[in-house]
Amino acid sequence: MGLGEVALVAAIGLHALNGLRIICIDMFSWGPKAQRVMFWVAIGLWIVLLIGFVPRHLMHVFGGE
Amino acid sequence: MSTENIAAPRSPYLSHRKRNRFNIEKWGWIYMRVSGVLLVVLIFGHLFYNLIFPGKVSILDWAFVAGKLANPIWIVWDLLLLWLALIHGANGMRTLINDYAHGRFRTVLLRALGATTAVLLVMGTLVLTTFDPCLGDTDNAELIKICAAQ
Repeated sequence: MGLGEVALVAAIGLHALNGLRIICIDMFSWGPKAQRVMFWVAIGLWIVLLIGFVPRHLMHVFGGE
Repeated sequence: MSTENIAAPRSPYLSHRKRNRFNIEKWGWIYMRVSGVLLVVLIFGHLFYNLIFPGKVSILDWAFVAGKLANPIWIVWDLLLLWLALIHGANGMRTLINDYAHGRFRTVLLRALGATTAVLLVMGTLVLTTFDPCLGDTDNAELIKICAAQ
């Protein structure tokens, strides 16, 4: 279950960030021009999210605490 | 023949452009954006509370969920999460089915999807609105105190 949560958070985190990027592309005049930059911003925020979540979470999964 | 009779290049198929009609694809498109923004807050709030603070994966059990559902705010939160996320997901699946399935197979998949979504929405709503944390056994001291006071 604990490893499934890692997959869940990784999947939903990327889906959320990529979805917000698509909303920006649709809503703002600068959106389409910035879509490639925003893709890498989303990837960067996703990696930050996973660094914040995964180590602590895995300690709870395998450390028993 | 004058050029006025020729449709502009790349203009949409005319039967789809009847004006002043409810356009379900447009509202589906808007729904995905609006529910998506709300779900970012609802889902990350849900995950943070359950997995980071005060919850963590090793203490998630019946008592943890029962303790949450004793608070009306979490019932409203989870109801919003259920309806927004399930319809968001079902609408996304509908797009995939319309993209990849054809003919009779598409009809079967769309009906199965609609039925599954409706059943899950009804069952989830039923649980969230009728759940009584005092019906089950628990070793959660806080919950025992609340139930004893009732």
